[in-house]
Amino acid sequence: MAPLPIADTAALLVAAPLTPGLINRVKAFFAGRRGPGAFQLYHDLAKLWRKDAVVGSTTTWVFQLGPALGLAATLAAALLLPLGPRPGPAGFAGDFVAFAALIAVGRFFTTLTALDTGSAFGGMGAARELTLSSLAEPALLLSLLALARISGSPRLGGLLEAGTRAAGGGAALALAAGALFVVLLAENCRLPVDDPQTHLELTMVHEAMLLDHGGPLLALALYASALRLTLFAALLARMLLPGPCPPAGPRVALAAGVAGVALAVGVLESALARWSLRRVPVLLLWACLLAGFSLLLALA
Amino acid sequence: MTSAGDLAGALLALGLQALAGAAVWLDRRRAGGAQRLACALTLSGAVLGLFCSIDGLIRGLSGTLTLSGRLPIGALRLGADPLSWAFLLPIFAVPGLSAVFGLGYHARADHPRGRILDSWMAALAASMGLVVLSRGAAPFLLAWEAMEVSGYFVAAGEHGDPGIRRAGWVYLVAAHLSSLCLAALFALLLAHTGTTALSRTAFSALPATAAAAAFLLALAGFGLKAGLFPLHFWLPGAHAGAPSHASAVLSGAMLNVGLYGILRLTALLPAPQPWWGQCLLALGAASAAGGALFGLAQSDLKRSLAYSSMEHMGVAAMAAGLALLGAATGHPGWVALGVAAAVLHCWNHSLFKPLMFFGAGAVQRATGTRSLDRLGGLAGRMPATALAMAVGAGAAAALPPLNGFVGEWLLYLGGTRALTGSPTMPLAVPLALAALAFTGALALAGAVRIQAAVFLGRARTQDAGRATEAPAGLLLPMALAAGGCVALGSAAPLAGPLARVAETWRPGLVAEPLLGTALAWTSPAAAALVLLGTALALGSSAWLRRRGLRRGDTWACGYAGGGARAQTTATALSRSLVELFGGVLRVRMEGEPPGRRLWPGPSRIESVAPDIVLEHGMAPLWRRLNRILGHLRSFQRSRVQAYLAAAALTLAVLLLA
Repeated sequence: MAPLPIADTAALLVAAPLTPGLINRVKAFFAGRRGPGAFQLYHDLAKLWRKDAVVGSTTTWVFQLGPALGLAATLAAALLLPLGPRPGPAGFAGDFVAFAALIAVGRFFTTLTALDTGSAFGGMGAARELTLSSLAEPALLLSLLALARISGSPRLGGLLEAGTRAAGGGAALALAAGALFVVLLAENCRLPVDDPQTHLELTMVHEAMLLDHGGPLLALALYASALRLTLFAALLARMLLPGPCPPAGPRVALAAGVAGVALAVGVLESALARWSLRRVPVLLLWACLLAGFSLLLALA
Repeated sequence: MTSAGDLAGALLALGLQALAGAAVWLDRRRAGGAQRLACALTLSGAVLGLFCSIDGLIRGLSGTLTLSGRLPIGALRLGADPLSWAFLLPIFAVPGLSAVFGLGYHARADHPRGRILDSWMAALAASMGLVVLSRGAAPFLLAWEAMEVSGYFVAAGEHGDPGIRRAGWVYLVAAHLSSLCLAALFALLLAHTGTTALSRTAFSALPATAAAAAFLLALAGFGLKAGLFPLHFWLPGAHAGAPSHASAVLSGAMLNVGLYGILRLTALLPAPQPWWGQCLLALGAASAAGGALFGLAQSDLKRSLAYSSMEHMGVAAMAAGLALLGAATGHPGWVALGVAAAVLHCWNHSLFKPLMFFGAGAVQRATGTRSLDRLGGLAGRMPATALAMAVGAGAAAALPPLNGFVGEWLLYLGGTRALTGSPTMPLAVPLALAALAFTGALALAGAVRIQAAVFLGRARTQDAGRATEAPAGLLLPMALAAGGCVALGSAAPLAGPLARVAETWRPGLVAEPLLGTALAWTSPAAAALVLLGTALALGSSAWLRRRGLRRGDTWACGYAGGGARAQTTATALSRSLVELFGGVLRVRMEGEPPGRRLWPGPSRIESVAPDIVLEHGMAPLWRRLNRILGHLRSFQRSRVQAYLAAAALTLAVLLLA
């Protein structure tokens, strides 16, 4: 008997901190450093979870509950994603919109938590996050709509298999994949949009919002962002996987796919410098255009 | 109950609401006993009306009632069907909530002139109900005019402020333009069909060109009322200037009437054309994206909320457009999902927008300002208001598991059905979906902006620092509306009533199985999401308590966090977005920048975000019209001889013709 879809999701939840670890390994390799191990985030999370927390004197219940609520939304999004051969644990018609909306719920709580500190840096990070996501979210939804058009299915389980069903939809598929990759970079604050390793507050986007988090609150926020990165990587990998299941089974293929996306992000981050913040909206606009053209091609 | 019983009950409920307008005059002192009596009357009307409407909606009842046939413009025909019941729900619910809120917010002892406002609000509620129940041109136009006029006195209730007087004037102009379009619409119908009855049989004789003209007139007349771009120019001023409990009615109930008109007329007009649906989709998309974008540039809390109303009316109009497109091209699935999404989104908006206006009222009452850049830090001092507003903001940003999400999601589902199900389709559908995605992201930014600027961080002014929690009388209606936002998030039980409305809109349609399967997941998913969030929140806070939670300074780059003035303001939070769309928003800085001298004098700078349609479209247009028509004025003030000559000339022409 094949394991239930929820077992795949549980495996994804356990493996999520590995994705940023893999990216860091790739970056360390290209930089010629020894670098942190692939499992570093697990150690960090375990350490942070056991610490006590210092919260700003201006903060309210929003700050203390925000990270947990944001994580709840990301977990719910994980439940929608189909990982094995079957649809996700909670798939339904139109679930891709719910997926995007749950990612947005996560953003709602992250930005509110940052603004609750009353810190100028938290507010700056939140403002940047809201600006960038106002272009990234349409690109995400448009590329998912294009996939829905190609595959003829309104569910994530069906539309991510657009590659297997498309007859001559290769160009549309490639454009949608390109748009999704840019969205992955923007939504997870990777280069060239945001440098996850920067220590300069003035240039931060996502990290600026986490400046005041400490202890278990920081652990929740870090885990939620690792999970979100893994979700996007799984989405992209699932879409790009070749149609018939490889002999090793769909789960191994998916894991290899996620690792491949992590490798691509790591290579990109090693080769690219961070873009000026004024240029980033142009990149995201390109992602929107790619997704839009993909939809147009699929309509033709 | 029978359909006649429900109809009589609804009319009685409207009568009770109207009676409340008279009851406020019972006592002359500032005691407020009459205000409580009026509130009780409004509430009993609301409960009775809601009961009848829900009963009529669930059982799909419809019936008509002819009161008198002796008027020169046709019989006074009233009637109700599921489409009317659906739109009666907010007309009963919102004034009821607003009356309770008004008891504490606009207490007679503090606002002795509030009796006038209360009377006009009662008249507004009753006339809105009559518009929805009208089945002929005569009652429709009479009720419409009553609604417009009472709406004016409600919007301009605090007329001491010149800005509000101007906004009221703009509202009145828009209202009369709307009435003019509708009068022309009914004249056109009378000319072609020979009757003024609002019924499908009467409309079936309409030729195609007349039907198209009628659609355009309806789109202009009702679009003005619903606040669709570019006909929204009156909306922000009118809704922001009214007292908050009145803004709640104006935005939560009266805007819906415009959408009701569009749905009613398009249900009756024969042979809808695809371009009708495309028009509505385009207007809705422009309003949704425009409303979300303009709202981001406002520094006034209530103006920002008013633009959000425009956004949500745009979403509902898009849904209606999809339904119309489906009706024109023969896709019953689009019709069912479109009508259901339009009606559900109107209901949702009628819950979360009054909630947010109540919250804005409570904040204004506690701090004396509604400028977003002068608030802050209220979550600690007004926790219940902050929580209620957070629910409202989440629903307005269409976040699951709240009701706003389900409405927009139904529209997405309809659009996706169009994308996946039919080989060819008008380009308007994917374009509208793209606009909807863009709107959703901007609406999230707007919701975060409002919530953060008002409730989070430190208080930016002393007044905000001294605020205290709103009394229970103000919190109760907010809690009811917030509960509604959460409850409607699990929308599975609504499939039946929404299917009744869709089946009324397009007879012969079978909508229930489709809507039933589409909405079935919402209830378990919403419950699961609420449970997951609650469990994680409780678990993490329990763990935090155990590990220890210390208070320290906010960290700001090696320094302790700056004071209240160093925080990110609402203007700063949306600045980069506003700059990104600067070409559309035309925000400008006004005032005197500090001089470059050695001892600069006092300076003042203010970012002004006027409504672009009003400032760059309507105002120049009116000025030009005024100049041209001004030439006629010399004739108006001319001599008696000229008047006599004109009268004689007219008489001669009439006799000869």
